Amino acid sequence: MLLHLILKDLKIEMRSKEIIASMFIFGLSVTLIFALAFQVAPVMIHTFAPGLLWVVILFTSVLGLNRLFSLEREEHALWSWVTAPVDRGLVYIAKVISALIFVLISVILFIIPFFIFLNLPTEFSFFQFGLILLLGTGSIVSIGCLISGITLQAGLRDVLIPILLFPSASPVAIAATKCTGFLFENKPLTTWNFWLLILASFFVIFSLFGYLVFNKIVEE
Amino acid sequence: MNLQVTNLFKSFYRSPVIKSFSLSVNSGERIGISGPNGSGKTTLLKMLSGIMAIDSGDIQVGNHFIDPEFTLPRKSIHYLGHSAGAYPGLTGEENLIFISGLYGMDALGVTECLEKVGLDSAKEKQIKYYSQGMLQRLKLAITILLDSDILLLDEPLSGLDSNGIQLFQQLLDEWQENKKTMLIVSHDHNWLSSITDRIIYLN
Amino acid sequence: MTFFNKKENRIHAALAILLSVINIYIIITLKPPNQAQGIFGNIFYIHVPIAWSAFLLYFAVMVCGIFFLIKKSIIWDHRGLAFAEIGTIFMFLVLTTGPIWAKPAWGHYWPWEPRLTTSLILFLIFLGYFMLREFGGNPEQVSRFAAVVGILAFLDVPLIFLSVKFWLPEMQSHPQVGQYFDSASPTPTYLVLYSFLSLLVIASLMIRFRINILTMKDEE
Repeated sequence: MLLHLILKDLKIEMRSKEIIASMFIFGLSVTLIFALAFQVAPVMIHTFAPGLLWVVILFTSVLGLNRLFSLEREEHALWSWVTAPVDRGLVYIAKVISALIFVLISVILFIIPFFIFLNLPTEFSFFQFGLILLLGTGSIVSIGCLISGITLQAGLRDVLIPILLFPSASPVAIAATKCTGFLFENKPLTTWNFWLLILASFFVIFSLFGYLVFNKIVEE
Repeated sequence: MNLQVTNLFKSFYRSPVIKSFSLSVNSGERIGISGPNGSGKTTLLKMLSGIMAIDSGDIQVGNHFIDPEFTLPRKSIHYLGHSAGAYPGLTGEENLIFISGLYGMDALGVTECLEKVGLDSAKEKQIKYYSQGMLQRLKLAITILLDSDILLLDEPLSGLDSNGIQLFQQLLDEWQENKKTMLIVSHDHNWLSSITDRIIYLN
Repeated sequence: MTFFNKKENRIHAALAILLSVINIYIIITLKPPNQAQGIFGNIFYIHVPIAWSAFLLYFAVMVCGIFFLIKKSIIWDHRGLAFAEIGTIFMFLVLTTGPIWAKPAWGHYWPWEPRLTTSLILFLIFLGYFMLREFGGNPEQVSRFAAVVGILAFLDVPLIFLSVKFWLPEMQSHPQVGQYFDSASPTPTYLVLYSFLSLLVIASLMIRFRINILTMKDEE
């Protein structure tokens, strides 16, 4: 069932490509603005870069989540699963996974220009970087899908998603920035595994919470 | 399957739309629901189908109460509403396959259903390109596919051409033969009284 | 019937006024424990208890949210909203008294001190909560959303606190608190507890007043 729900989102996206395309182009534009606005010494950009990266990821995630959930709103498509004998918590988990896939793909696409534009060094462990990206975006979308589920039914959704998401995701922003910073400085994993732990626990806590309460928020 | 609504309440913006509403529907009965705009006809059907939360009161389907936590009763009810309840980015066929998957059914009947409502030529078209009438036919196809025991039909004729209306009449006869319980909302009072056993007024 | 027509409410109000007047008198006349900070050092006796009360009130929002989601009874929604409102007023006071104390203690108005930062982030989440309450649409539905956001906000607290605490490790958390509590005399501890008590009496009066208004509005 989970796979069935995820494949539906993937199929729609593979046909239109609008979510990934808009996230990628948006991420690229923000990167460009950052590169222009922060024309500082390379040493300085080195310390700024992790924070900038996660600001871009957070912004693009909001964009992607908004689009991903508007799929459910058009023609009231959500009625298909709301009225079906399906555990609605599972729909939330499916949304988290498809959001994770979409955000990660667009991040992989704009991260290359990000490194080139900002002249960042690339001598670090790609595996560890992948792990940070996975846990960081996972945490963002786990709470983001819950908030988008709320705003799916509520008014003022364009404003409410960032207003609720940014402060609640602040631990993610801090932890993911710290991880990325330590990684760029080539510090051994043992000195910053605490931050990975914060990301992982955020991911677990809010996925579980979303799974439990999603049922309460999808009904009109 | 019978349906029992007891003391149902629902309000919007703190003003009650449905107030202490009770209804008992026997298995195989056809009920027409009529009333002015804003009298809560659609609201009632949405609460029965699980789309809308219940403020207080009970809805019993067969032996089970409708509850967000409990998925089983949703299997025996299908709501045909104003919106398609299908993904505009998927084709007609894909939508039916997706929905049958949600109900744990295989997709064998999908083509047959689409043929029955005359959508087989458009089944590989995304439904965002469908006309209003085609969407209405798609909703009918979903209803045939799911074959639920209780059918909630909200303005089932809207957007249908004369062929479509004929098709719907034919389906109604079939559903009556199969002893489906039906709740039909319509503004056309004469038509409603010709096809239902009794009519309930909401105001 | 208005709130103050009831005898018990008048007694409650009188008690709140009496306790606060004594509290303010003590704090103003008390000899500052730290000469360098002058009279500003005494703000400790009001800042810390307000912060305790604010977090307690937000915790109550979460509890009310859980009860509302389980019992669906409107009274838990009113309680949750009242706790959120009064909690936010208290949080605002935390955020204003904090900088007043921080200036003499740290030399600048905004120290990124973990507790103060956590307060700020929670305050922002609750601003979103009120936006949702106000502009989210149908109040019956928004009640459920607000309950979820209220729980989400408090679930976030440990993660926010941990990540802010280790974000700037050189930023000691409340170095002054120790100096108040560790002094040989137990008086500061008693004073803080007394101040906390008087604030709780005020808060409970405000909450009961709000719940009364919300219930009356409902009955109309």
